[in-house]
Amino acid sequence: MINNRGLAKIGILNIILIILVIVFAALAGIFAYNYYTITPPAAITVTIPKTIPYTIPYTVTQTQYITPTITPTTPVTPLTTPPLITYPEIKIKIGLLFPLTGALAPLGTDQFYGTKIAIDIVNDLFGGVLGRYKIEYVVADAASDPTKAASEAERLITVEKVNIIVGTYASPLLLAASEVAERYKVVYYEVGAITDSATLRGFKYLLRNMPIGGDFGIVSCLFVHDVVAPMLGKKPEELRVAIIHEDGPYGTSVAKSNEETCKKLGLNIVLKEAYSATTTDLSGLIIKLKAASPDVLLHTGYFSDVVLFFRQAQELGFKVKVIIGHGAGYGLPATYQALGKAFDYVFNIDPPSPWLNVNAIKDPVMRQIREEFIKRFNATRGYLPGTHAYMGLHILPLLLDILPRAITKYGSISSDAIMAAAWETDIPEGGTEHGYGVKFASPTNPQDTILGQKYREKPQLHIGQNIRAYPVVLQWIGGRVIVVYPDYLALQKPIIPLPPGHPLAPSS
Amino acid sequence: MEIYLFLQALLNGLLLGGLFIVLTIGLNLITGVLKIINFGHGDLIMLAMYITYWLYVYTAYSPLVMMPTTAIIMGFVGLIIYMLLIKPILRASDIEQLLGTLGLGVFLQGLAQVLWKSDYRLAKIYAGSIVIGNIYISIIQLIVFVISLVASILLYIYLMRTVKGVIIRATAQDPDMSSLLGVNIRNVHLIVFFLSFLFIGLTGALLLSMFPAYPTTGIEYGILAWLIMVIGGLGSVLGSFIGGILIGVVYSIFATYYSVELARALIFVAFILTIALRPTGLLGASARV
Repeated sequence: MINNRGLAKIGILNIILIILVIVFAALAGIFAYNYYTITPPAAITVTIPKTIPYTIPYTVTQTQYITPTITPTTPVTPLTTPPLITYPEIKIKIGLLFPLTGALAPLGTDQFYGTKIAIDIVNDLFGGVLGRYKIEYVVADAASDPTKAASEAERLITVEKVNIIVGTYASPLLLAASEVAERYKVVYYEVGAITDSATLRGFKYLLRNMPIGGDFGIVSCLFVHDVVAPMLGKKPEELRVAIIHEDGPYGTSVAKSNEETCKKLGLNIVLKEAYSATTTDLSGLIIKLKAASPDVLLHTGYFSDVVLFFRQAQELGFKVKVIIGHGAGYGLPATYQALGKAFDYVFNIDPPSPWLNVNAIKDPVMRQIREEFIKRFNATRGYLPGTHAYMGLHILPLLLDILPRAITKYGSISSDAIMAAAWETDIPEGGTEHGYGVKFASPTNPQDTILGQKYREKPQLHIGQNIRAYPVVLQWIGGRVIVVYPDYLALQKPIIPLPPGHPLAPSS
Repeated sequence: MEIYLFLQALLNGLLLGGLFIVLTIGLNLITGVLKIINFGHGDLIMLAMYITYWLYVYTAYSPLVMMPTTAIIMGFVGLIIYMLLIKPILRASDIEQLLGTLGLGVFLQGLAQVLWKSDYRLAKIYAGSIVIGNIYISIIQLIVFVISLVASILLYIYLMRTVKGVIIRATAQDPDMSSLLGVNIRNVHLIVFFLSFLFIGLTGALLLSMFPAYPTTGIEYGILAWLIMVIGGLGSVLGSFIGGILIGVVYSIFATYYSVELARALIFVAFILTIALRPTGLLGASARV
């Protein structure tokens, strides 16, 4: 045989070459990364308004939405804690389980930093839980993979011996990891995953302070019915609504509740279409949309597909008056950086961002935390926190309400003590940094969220879900997501329709 | 639906075909000449996208301007990869080649993950289009289409009409015999590798002007490239060209008139049918290379 070197001949020279290449690549990459982080090319600079000079100017009656009964409250936890006779010897160790690598990492990392900063703030400003127990945390990477999430949860429990696991941003990871925690009877506290099903499994050690996915689709339709239709000068039944979504469980479930609620409210759905989130072409979908000529587009998608949609929509001359997204890609600063102007005035449904009417936060301590959070996040990450990072603060009721009660009333932070304390949590509307209150549906009284009780066809029976949490409508304006609906949380009035000059705005 | 919508769908299909072709060219050359099963193709495109991105960040020139630079850098990356990975597994069994290149892909994903984290990296999206009556033509996709067309034609001429091309094809058919006749096999392989990585670099630059780069982005491109190549005919430049256009048009029209969701599945159906009915692809063995 000629020129047959076979498999075996890997000379010493080649091995040295391999090592050299790897070392060189690593050095180059690290240099490139550092260089890049020092001067980010497209940093968004906006000034943070200190006071809100705004009074709500529009008079849309929002009979459909929750009308909060705000009672004057005392701070959730005073900065100086009441003296106790005996403090038990307790070490609080929390496992932070987030997808820090893999496909889910861009938002997962943001949320991880949000949660970490929330813990730091409690440690630094409050001196820890009850002013004396510093919170330790261990970081685990769920690697965007449910199997990995489960094994990491197991490691956190058995090796690191954490008291509580906090996670996880993504629903599949939550579903897998919480199962492990439930088996070991360790409290699992969710701050960011939205799938309805997580709290419908009857788990006894799962708490979730986060609106559920089913409510996202409800809120967008309520917004279209209550605000968009009057502002466009149309009756709800004249309004043409198109629903498009990625075809995974996330997109499908949101789109389903979109369809249900919009039909219930009498809106005219002209198109409902799914697509794969990894697709490289959406032109077919956009031609269909052009043919259907909707006034309002309800879209549920991730990052790549949302960017693809906006590019091709502009290229193919698709015009629409209002675009409403449902979290994920629509909540990401990267999307704004990639799309720039085209993403301005687009709506997003998500939990409140930091850019809300601060007056709706009744608790002054929470307002202070919000400001501190924005400052610290900006210093750590180099950009202002969006919705997903702000969700990290969902951990606060655990640190400032549940754990103190578990210690003072039940004398320990065993899982059962924490859960017993959690069922008693009763923070009214306006008592958290997000605006909404906290009340967990307990095993003795499983119930649907407040929005769900009102609008879902079949009420769901959640256990461990914060039924007072609800998503709101945000609008992208100049690089920030600003709360525009409901009124009492709104920082400013929504801008409807897309203003002239916007690439997707109808010319007439 | 009106006629202009049909024309629009048809046009979109053609342009999409251009994207499919450009994904496939680099893979095609390697498969055709070296008979290597390259499952790392998608991740090499990912690497090219990152290279373009960093060039874009440092120089602030658009990815399209940076295309030649990326292509040449990738060409040299190709030479290194040939020396380190491909040469040892050239005569190995298919399984070993598959594992070797797949390993390369996983390695590149891991490397990108460690070096650049998993943030989405994206150059500013450019969304211009030419409007003729009611028909919109995406400029960036038009560029992709033209480049894939020109590249395919040049490559075809190079392989069919030049002496080097004859040597490459001869090597592809029977390396031992060509070697006996005085062909320096190693040099032929290096040329082919350089060429195909040139195209991979080109692809990366084009893709970055449309899609974000992140460590796992190559998976989808790799799969698409393989599907198109198998449907068109393994290692056939002309076959992939026709296959790419055909799939693009069918995909687009199916998505427009039936279901966007099922259009993607349609590519896989075409793939399975090809494997079952005509394993050599559209332009079977006779027209290879």
